[in-house]
Amino acid sequence: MRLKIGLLLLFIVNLIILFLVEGKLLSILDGVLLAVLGYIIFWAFIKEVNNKFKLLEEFTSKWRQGRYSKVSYYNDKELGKIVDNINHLIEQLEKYNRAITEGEKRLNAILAGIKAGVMVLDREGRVILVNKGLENLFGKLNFTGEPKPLLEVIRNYELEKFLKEALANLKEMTREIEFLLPNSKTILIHVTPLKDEHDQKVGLVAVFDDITEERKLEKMRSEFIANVSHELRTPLTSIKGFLETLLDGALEDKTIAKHFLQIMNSETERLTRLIDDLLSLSKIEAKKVDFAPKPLMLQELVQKMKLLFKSRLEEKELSFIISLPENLPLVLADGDMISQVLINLIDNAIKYTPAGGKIEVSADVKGSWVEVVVKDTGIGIPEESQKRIFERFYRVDKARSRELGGTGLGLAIVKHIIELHNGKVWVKSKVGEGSAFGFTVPIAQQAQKGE
Amino acid sequence: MTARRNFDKALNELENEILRMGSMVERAIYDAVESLAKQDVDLAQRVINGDRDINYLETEIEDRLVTLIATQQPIARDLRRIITGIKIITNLERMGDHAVDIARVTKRIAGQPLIKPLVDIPRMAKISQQMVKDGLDAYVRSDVEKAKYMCSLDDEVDHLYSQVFRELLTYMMEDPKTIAQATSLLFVARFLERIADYATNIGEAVIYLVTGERFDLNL
Ligand SMILES: Nc1ncnc2c1ncn2[C@@H]1O[C@H](COP(=O)(O)OP(=O)(O)O)[C@@H](O)[C@H]1O
Ligand SMILES: [Mg+2]
Repeated sequence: MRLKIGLLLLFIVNLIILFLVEGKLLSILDGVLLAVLGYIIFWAFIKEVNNKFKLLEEFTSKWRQGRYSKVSYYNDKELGKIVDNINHLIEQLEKYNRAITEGEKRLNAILAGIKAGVMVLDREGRVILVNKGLENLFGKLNFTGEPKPLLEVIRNYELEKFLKEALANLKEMTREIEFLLPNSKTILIHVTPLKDEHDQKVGLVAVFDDITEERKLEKMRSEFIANVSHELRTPLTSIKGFLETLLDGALEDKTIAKHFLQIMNSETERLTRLIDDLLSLSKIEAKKVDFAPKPLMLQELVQKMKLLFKSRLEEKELSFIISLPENLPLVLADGDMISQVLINLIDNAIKYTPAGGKIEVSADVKGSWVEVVVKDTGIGIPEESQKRIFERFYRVDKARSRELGGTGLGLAIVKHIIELHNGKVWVKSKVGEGSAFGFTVPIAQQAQKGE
Repeated sequence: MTARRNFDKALNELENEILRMGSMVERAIYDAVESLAKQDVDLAQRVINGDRDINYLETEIEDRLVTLIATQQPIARDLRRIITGIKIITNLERMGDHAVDIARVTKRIAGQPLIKPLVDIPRMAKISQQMVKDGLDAYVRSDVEKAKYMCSLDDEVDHLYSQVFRELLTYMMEDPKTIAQATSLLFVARFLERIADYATNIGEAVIYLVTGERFDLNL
């Protein structure tokens, strides 16, 4: 159909042209011949152009799939120019592409390297980027790279409110927010607004820092100070009370006065002990800086303990058994400190074991450690107290500990010292049956043994 | 086309509001339990005051969802999204009320020494809170598996509840002086058990949303 119309058209056009050129009408046959010839030339031309376009189309469809290969030079003037332009465009594109991938790679590497959680939001407050650190904080996030409303990624209305505020104000802001599950965490969030060159908002970068530990330590510190003041005040109040009564006239009665002075004396002793213990604690903390353990023989230390506690053991008719193996290796430790550990543990064992009981100190090699155990047949420690027993000022029975002259700091000191030696402390106990306290210290290396 | 886009936008916004409400309720439950464990009356009062915001948000979301139904006459999944939304906020609102109930107990027994250290109640609280979180997570992620998993957690809560119930009952029988406090604690356990149930309702709503089928998690 098209062919026919084409031929007819060519035929008529030819007739008109020939008529204009020659000034006369040609025979119909001439016209037909010319028309066919013209059509063939025209057809070839179309075909040629068609081929060129096909080639271009092939390449461009490859580009759509993301494969940018250059067009090979085509031996044709006009097309050659186009090809040149296209090739230039491709080079340019590849350059941008490389720059973008490079930039993205660098950004991802930087983000992954940051320990803090990082989140980037767009101007609508949707999450557009998160880093590994953020997932470490919150667990697997519901985010795959597609922009998402904040609440779908991290469901916390306080955070949402804060980020909205920051986005509206376009100011740097910092806030502490508590996150709940699975474990409550205190997180410090710092946001920086992103602006373009015209000061228009583009989005927001939020950095998340886990400060749970810091907050916990702060709380512990202030609780410790409160505890210390309380512990110091109790004996002081008592001393002051007796002093005032003495001054008010009790001094006249010799027997009462003497009794009061005895109480005051024991309260003063308690104050001294408390301050000594506090000083040891702070000394251990200070020692963390230059702590120099030496090879040490535990047998000697334990024998010294027996002498030290001799009178008290006899007083309470407690048997004291030492069962250390002959060939116990030297340990790498600070002698004074380990003595302090043993004193505290044996002191407790004596205090909390009724008359006639038994205390045993044993030791054993456990890998590259020596484990020392102080075991008694005393009153024992209830299960729920066992995990708190090493805390400062924690006592199972406050009144009883005080009565026995305790400060509540002994086990805290023990724990501090052993941790300084990188060792571990533990307790096993059953109410009414007895307790066992154990600790580990590292074995001294052979080379050091020879020194 | 634009009508469709407006509808989607409105619904997305509302679903975001639902998540905000969810977060507020999660916080309320957490604070209520915390106030009880730490005997913190101020915190309890904050929970009680905060419930107004939750209730307000619930009515607002519900009104807007209902308006969407009335004006857009959605069908199939669109309709399910709206219905699920309404179900979720209703359950969230009830949880919020129970958080307030727990906070009230904190205030009631303030200053009294606890008749026993709280062990099972915090455990129940932890699981119930986890279930609320799981329910909302399942909603956000259209995660049917997670929603179904909540069933086993609910069993655990029910089991703990009967344990607490029996234990408190023995306390009351042994010493009538403990009755007042033991009853309060019993109520707390009951509220937590209800919260867990509401959480499973959310799980069911999510399953309905995703599959279009009803599924009973409260077996
Ligand atoms: N061997 C033991 N048997 C029973 N209870 C113990 C023993 N050792 C420690 N305790 C308990 O641990 C608490 C803390 O011990 P410690 O820190 O040494 O303080 P204290 O000055 O009271 O002895 C004690 O008050 C006591 O209740
Ligand atoms: Mg002691």
